[in-house]
Amino acid sequence: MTGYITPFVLAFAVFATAFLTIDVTIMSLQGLSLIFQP
Amino acid sequence: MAITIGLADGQVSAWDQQAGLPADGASAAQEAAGNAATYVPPPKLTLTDYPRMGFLNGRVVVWLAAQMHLWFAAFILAVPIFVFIIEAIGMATRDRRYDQLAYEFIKISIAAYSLTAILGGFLLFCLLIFYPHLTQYLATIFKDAMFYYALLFFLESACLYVYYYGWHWLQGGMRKWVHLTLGLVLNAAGTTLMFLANAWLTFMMSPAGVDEAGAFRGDVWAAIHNHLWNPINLHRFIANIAFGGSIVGAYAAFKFLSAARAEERAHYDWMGHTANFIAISALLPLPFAGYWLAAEIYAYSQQMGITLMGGIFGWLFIIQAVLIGTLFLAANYYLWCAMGRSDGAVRYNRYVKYLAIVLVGAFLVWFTPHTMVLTNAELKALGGPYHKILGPLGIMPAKNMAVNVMILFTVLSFLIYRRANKIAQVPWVKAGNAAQAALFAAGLSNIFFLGIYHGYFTNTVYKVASSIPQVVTTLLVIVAALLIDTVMYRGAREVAPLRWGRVPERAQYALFLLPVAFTWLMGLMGYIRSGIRQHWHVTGLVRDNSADAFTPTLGYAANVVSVGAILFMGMVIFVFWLSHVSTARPALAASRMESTA
Repeated sequence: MTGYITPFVLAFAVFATAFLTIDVTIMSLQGLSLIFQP
Repeated sequence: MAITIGLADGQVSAWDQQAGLPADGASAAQEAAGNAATYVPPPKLTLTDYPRMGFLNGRVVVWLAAQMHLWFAAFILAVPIFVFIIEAIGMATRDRRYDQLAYEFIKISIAAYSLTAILGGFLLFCLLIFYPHLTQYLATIFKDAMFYYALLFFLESACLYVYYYGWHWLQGGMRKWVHLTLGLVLNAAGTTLMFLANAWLTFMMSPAGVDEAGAFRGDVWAAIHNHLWNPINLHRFIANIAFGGSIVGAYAAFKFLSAARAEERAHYDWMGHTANFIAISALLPLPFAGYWLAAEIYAYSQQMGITLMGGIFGWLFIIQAVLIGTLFLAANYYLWCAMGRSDGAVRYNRYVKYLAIVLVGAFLVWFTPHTMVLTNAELKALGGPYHKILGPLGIMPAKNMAVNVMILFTVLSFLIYRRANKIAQVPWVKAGNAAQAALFAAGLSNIFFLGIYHGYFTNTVYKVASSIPQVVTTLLVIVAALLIDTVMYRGAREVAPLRWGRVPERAQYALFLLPVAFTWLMGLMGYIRSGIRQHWHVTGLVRDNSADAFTPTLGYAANVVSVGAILFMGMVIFVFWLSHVSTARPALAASRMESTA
């Protein structure tokens, strides 16, 4: 089980960080921040 | 086109005005000036400018002619695209099966090519008969493009006929490269033809290259390259491939069900699987191209955009959701049935129900409407126009999340199908599987974060903007998952040879459902795209003053599209029958000879 959970958690952290970075980049290219600023 | 009908001397007909021709009796100087490229605004049309013909409704005739032509055109443009790719794969792998498959695909489309041309001619005649002034206005602007459009048919026909009839002649060595190049030129000609025709209909929606009164400025590229041209080009290019794949898939399904021998069943099973793969591969990015098209319609004209999805046509998008959901469910169902070809699929059968639950759930969200059609009593009972719990599922953020989920889970079905017959030999299988699971989990989490947070807790600007990173997330998950899978299963051991032909017959009915749903969907969406012009032939410039200048009821429009779809399906069955008898004759002759011997 450890042989699955550890790589899953690590990979999840990496991919989630990558996706958030992409989100921030694409939103800023549209002149917006990721978090809503009224 | 300078036909004067029953006019007094010195009068200039509406047609002559458009051509910029001077009135009769003008001086030579005036005539010379008239011969220079001057363009006048389009005429203001009245009821009498729309010729009638017996009991026929000109709008419905042109509608059906255009739609039938478009269905066939989409098919015959798509087939050479994937035939070219399959032929190239055959050359690269030196596997003759791919070459034979490509030949069989192009054979199906040959009869359809003639029907496309016939319907195109019929459409042109109908436009001239029922909308002569509009047609002349468009011909004045696009005369160069229309002339080259006609000439391109010579190139396309020449390439297609040599490509098909010369298939076996141009085999081996350099000849095969010549053949492949012919396929490339065929595709280039076909795609150019589509782009030119797209310019005419997008000009009607978002005119460009004309002044405020509608007079052509003389730059045909400006008129071609109007606001909606590229979004339509991209959407139609991808949609054609999906549609074409589904049509040949239905042919393969028909041949599978009527196959007498096991080898035939195996061959047509493989053909159907390949066609389904082509259709689904193109279907996956299609919602994004459609979203871009809708966004550009909004950007061009807010009124048109709101009519499109927030007004009368909004309910047709619920029908669209039902049909696209049908496409996804049918495609996935085919893949799940197809897993039966592999002895190793038993390991993955238990996941199918979870895939089905998610897909059906996303489907339900996608077609949940927002604004209900309610009586006053129902409005009071509901406490407002929207359902308190299901109402939030009726707006775009929920739909975007649903479609991204459906796309990702379709890819998951495909990955499971792909690995059903393989046992990975790499030592890091567990970590690789964990990484893929994490990739999907992170991607879905991001899609839900963007959809829920920006869709329900921010404003419209953020809501629309967040759909772009959502799309990018889905595309990245697909690419990364396929990459990991490819590397992980390099050198994998086969469980057993795939048993082509060992697939339940009900899977073939899924292949029948695909083109029917695609056809209906294209008809519906084509109607919407035309209908949002409402009372304009050319938005803001040429007003529709015919007796049919009204938006019909949704039921009426759906009936017209359905009649067209049934006619089209009938003609496609005719095309399939032609392909079928062209291969059946030698066997028939052989059996006759045997019986008389």
